[in-house]
Amino acid sequence: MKYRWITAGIIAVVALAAGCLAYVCFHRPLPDSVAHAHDSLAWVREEFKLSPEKMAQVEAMHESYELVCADHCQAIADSRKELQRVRDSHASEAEIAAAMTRVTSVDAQCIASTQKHIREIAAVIGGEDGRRYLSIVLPRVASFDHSAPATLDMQKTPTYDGPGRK
Amino acid sequence: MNTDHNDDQLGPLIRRGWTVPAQSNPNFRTSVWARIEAGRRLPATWSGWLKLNFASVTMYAAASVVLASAGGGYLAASQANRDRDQLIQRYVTSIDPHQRVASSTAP
Repeated sequence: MKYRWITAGIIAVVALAAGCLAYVCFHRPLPDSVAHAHDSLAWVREEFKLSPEKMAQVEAMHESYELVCADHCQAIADSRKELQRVRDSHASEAEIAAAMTRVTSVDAQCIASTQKHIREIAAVIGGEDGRRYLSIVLPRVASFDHSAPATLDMQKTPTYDGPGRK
Repeated sequence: MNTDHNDDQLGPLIRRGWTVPAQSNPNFRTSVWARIEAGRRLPATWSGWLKLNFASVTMYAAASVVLASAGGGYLAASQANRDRDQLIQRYVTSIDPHQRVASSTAP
């Protein structure tokens, strides 16, 4: 009986070692520079292995778009604040409607601008990788709940739940 | 109930009515010796026991190793997927003003 327990123990240890080995073999840890730095282009760099020229182009476009994006963020925040102010001041229906139209317009402008930038990056990446980039990134932007009535403090939550969702 | 231990009728009554049919077991002797022999054959060392049970031990060991490897591989793959998803979300947040605003105002 004791031989059976000894054997079971040895099998358990060997199986554990095999499991750990499989984990180490299949695990692709992110480089420290990627995992810890706040490098937003890390995914593009890791996923598509672009040539240095293409990567430099993508970095330049990303950098210049970040300024545009910051402007959009400001415009979104301003339009939401204005809508809140108008509502809080019990303004007329027409004023509230105008503020809401402004919010909708800013939202649409930001979404269009973001999608244009994404398509430009996809064009730089090019080929099958470019299409793959689009298929990953666009649904995440498109499925984010831009159109639902936002709470005034901008508490929107991403609704993305997979690449197949449109 | 009659509890008289010197009942004269008890002895003859039992002799008449209590008969135990004898059942012969021709394998009794063989099975006793077989058990004695099996006890003698039990290996004294673990390696001897292992040789005796090599097939079943190998089967259990192989099954355990395969299961554990599959589990380890699955864990590694799901960890890699989570890492990748996190990087993608970081990138998308950096270019989508709505998500950027939402994440900066999230509690």
